[in-house]
Amino acid sequence: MTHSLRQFSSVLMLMSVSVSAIAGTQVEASEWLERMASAMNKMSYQGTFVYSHGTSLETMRITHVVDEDGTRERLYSINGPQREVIRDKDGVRCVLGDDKAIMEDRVVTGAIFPEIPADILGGENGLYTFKKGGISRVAGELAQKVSITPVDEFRYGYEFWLEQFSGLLLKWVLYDSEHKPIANLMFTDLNLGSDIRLEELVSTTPSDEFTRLETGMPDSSLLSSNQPKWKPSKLPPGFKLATNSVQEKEGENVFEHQVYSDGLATVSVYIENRQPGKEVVQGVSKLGTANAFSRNIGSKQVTVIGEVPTVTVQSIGKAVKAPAKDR
Amino acid sequence: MNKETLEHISSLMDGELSRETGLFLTRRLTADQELSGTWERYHLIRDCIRQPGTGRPVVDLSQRMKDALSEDAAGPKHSWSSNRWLKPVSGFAIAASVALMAIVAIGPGQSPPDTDLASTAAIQQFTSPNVLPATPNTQAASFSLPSQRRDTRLNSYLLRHNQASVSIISQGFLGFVPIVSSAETDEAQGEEPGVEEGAEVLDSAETDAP
Repeated sequence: MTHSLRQFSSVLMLMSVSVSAIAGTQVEASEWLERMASAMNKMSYQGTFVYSHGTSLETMRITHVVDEDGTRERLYSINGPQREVIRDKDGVRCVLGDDKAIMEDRVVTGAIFPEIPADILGGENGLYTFKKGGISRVAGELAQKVSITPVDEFRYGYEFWLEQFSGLLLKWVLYDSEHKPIANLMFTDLNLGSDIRLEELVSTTPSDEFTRLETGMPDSSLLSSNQPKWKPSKLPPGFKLATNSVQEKEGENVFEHQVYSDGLATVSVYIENRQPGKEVVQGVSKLGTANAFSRNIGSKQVTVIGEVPTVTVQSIGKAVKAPAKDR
Repeated sequence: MNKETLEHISSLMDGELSRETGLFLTRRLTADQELSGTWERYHLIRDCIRQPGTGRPVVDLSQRMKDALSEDAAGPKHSWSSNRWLKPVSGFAIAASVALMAIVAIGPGQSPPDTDLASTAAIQQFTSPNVLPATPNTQAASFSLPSQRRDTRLNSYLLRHNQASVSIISQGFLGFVPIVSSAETDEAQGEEPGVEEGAEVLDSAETDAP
């Protein structure tokens, strides 16, 4: 072998080692995320965390219990107006303390333990770069850092710090596509198993003092998985229809809920009949880190919502088209 | 910073300071970064160490709160002990009740901007120089914001969206945090309300819709 050939083969070998190392860290990172999802669903835990977004800093408490009664969860704010979300096998109940209001929604089954689709991991078609970082200390525990960086402006990036042994989430940062932090969350204490105080699952809200709000959402028992009639003609790269539910009345779809996902980010598209006197403001709205976009198309109202950048909800919302026969 | 100043901060949080002293201290808070950092830490500590619903301190939080805040703490590193931690914290934070409102003698019916003490400008300067990113006021410190308008419609969409979630990220409680958060909802920001038909906006997008 000549000298230059030897050099060339050494470079090739180094390149292949680097590529496989990068691929290795991508896979390891995604495995950590799957561990996190599994731990956060299957384990029982209770903790206090600080959540900051924009100019607000809030302290919240989470109790998540998995036992013979199924999965029960209560998330509530410690400071400020009394607000909480309680989830169990029957659905979700949301107390909006500042409005003295309660909203309830019956369960809609999503995937229990979704996996990260292989095609979003790196490579030419990768939508994100996954990276396994170092170990650091968060809330007194050793934590593995995992970073997810988006390749374009249609999705957010994430950093997670996961408890070294269980994979439970200890710290989370949400970034925009320019890597500017949008929100972050950090546990200040976390208890597992027998240390959990089950009484914290029970709401302290005196429900008779609260007004029940109509969500305007049809009960999930009224929905079928028929094909959507209204849909976006184009989607941001990587987004695909994941689930669809439709409420029909006399052959017409009066409500459609489509969920699009790129494997990590999800966006819901709601298409409903416009109701006189209940016109919504059109355009972009924000609810914390979630963005929404609403518009009217003829007799229909289209709302797109998800924890994705404004450009994503806007793009999808503007691309929604009526079925050919309605145009 | 002397002990008396720290006690004044604690009293201010408890609404136990006279109007004149409160006015003086608030002005100092707007100008003194160290003081405003202390103010913010006291709020954070108070929020975090309270056992929800009981107002009791969570004793075993001391070590972890120390860790969480150590990068934020001004000055040299201390060798903390439980007693040493709890003593000042309990002195200032436990005693602090929820109402910053009471601080400067603003009654519920009064308009905060009418008083120098409660000016938003003053409160906005209470930002942390270090770790807690984008650091904000605690919820209590931002009491003077107008009543939070929650958008039922958006909440119900988000509630249903989270339940139908198919993502590893939004599964679990993370997706519900924005609903529990009392951060203000921004109503529609006036984006082309006249759009009527599907505009072709995604030049670089794939057509993945089934």
